[in-house]
Amino acid sequence: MTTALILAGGTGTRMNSRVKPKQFIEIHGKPILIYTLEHFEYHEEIDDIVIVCLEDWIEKLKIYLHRFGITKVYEIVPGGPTGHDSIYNGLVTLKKKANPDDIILIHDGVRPLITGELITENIRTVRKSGNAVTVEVIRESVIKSTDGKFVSDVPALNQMFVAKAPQSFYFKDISEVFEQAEKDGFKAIDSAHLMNHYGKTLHMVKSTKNNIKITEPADYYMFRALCQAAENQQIFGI
Amino acid sequence: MVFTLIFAGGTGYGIGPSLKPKQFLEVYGKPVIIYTLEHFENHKDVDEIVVVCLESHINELKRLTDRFGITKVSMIVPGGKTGHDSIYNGLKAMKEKAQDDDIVLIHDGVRPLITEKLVTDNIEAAKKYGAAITVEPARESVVQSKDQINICYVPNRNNMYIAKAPQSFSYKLIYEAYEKAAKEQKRTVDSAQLCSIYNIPMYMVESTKNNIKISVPEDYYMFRALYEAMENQQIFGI
Repeated sequence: MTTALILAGGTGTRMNSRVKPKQFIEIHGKPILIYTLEHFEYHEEIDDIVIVCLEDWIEKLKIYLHRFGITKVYEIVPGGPTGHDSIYNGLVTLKKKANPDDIILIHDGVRPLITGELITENIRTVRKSGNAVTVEVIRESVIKSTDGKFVSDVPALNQMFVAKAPQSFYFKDISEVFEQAEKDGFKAIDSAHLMNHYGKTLHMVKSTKNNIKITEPADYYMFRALCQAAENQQIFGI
Repeated sequence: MVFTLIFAGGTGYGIGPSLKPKQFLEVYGKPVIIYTLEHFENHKDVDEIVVVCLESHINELKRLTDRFGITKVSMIVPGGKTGHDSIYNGLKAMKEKAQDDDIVLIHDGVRPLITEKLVTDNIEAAKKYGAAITVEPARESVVQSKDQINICYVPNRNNMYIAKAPQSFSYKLIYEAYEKAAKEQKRTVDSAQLCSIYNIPMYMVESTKNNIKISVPEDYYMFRALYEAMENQQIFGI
């Protein structure tokens, strides 16, 4: 089985959106989360979807799923205080039904700009190498600073990548590190960070372009502009 | 004196059917390079602007600076093979005018989304520390891979930044660094990387948000969307 675990637990404190968490903000009448879900809904290798959602919005989400014809959602789980906790909640729920060698694609609800090919490539890489972390080449220099004031290192640009999503694993591997982190009281920024923390080797999949995470108002405008550009391309073939 | 050295030498694989170099692409009838130049033109502490430009487009740039009332441009210098060479060309051309402790803000012609405050912060930091790099805290995990296949390291995101522009220096310091690199036949992605090679301490200036570099077609759409959103803010005060 191949399951998509979609994180939609964020509150959107950075979005200036007092009424709506960012994953529910609408673009041309459709919530961002639905744009994201559609990629997994329409992908033939995805068997089901688990969504980790803000508790107060679960009922509303059910209505949206119905209205927009998203049928693969197997369960909606309440989110935790951090992204780490939300993934953990999702994995605990999956434990009831997942086999150790099921493939889990962990994805952000606010990353709607992915493609079917990226999902395929994630699944293929997990089968081939054991896991898959979507990355993008960096176009600007990366800088390390330990004191937040002065540059301490500028690592070679051709070795640096930005971690995106999906991040995909065998169920047994990802649940094992999250169980361990739970025991150790360790919280990671994302699954790649956690796996690296526990010394696991990670394999890269090159992201499609513009795989942005919509967390700030400007991201919303960018996403809308990119949607429009993509729609216009159908006609103009730019 | 405070100089701004604008790099507009990118041959660009031009964008769109017109194959215009990206710095000359127009947004609402005004080229991207002019949006960028206006920030320095209108800043009271910037005395002169030197532009490193594609040789074939120098005349066009002269016409544009005239038409859009950009008066501080004192020199337009032909670009070199790479960004590195272009910056060095610019620094060499400034040699007769610039004093050792003059300040040079090195900026990309295709980064129009900066602010007056960012320019001020750069000037102050360069005066105080000799070298100042505009950075943005990493919003997504940065990962390192030496073989382009496996991830070998996921550093703590709190220590990671992305280098932006302006990158600002005292003239003597940066000219000597580029001169040394020329002798040793070293080329770097940006001045931050160059300073890092020669162990020059660099102070970090926090970038304004959305300090994007317009280098692929999508960036153009993003710039236009952000620009529109900012104009709308004047009215709605979002």
